[in-house]
Amino acid sequence: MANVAGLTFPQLTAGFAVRRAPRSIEGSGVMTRLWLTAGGVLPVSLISAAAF
Amino acid sequence: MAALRETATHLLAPVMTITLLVMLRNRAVRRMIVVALGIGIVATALYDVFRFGFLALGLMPDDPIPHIGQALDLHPAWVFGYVWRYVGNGGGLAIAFMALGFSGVRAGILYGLFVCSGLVVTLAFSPLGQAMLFELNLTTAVMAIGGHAIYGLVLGSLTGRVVSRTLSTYLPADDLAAFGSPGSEPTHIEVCLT
Repeated sequence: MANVAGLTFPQLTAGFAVRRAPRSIEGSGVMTRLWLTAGGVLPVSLISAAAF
Repeated sequence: MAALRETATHLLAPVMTITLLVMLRNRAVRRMIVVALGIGIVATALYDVFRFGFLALGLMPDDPIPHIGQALDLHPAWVFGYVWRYVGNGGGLAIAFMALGFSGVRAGILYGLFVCSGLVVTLAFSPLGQAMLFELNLTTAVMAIGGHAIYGLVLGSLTGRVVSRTLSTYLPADDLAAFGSPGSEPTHIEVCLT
């Protein structure tokens, strides 16, 4: 589990660092975007975690 | 080692369930996810055209994608491996790309190369990475970097087109001009989806 977090959050951090976090999708808020981003990178992160 | 089958069951399945609930609650989010999944699948297919060239030329010993299906203990392994690759990896990363508000070719290629850096780190440093996926050498590095650049190029290009088309539908020409060319403004996606 630690590997999953360790591989997911650097990607998220870098994603936000490359470009400022945009505004909400139809008022849903940054948390919705954060959730979608985390969910989107999760399958790739699970593959990485499985390799460790 | 975090077994893929267990993490998929205990982590991925609940996340997908909550994402589905978010989708059902918000039409704009639902539309964005569907569009991103479609674009991600197309971008992954073009990446695979490039990758299959390496397989056809014998530059890679075998296709690593069925290994994902084997790790999931689902059969036929190649079917579930490719579903994971296209919907999970390609589609999921496209959802993250759009959720972060990215669009345009430049952002897409940089994003693809960024994702590739994660793969290279996994192959270089994880104990099972090369056994589970493929051996890291010059040939496979070219395949991975080239493939991810293609994925990112297609992702960024199609995202930019979708955003501009949606903008041109909803905004007057003067307002549209204020947004510049696709990929040049970080606020495109908000306008597209509202």
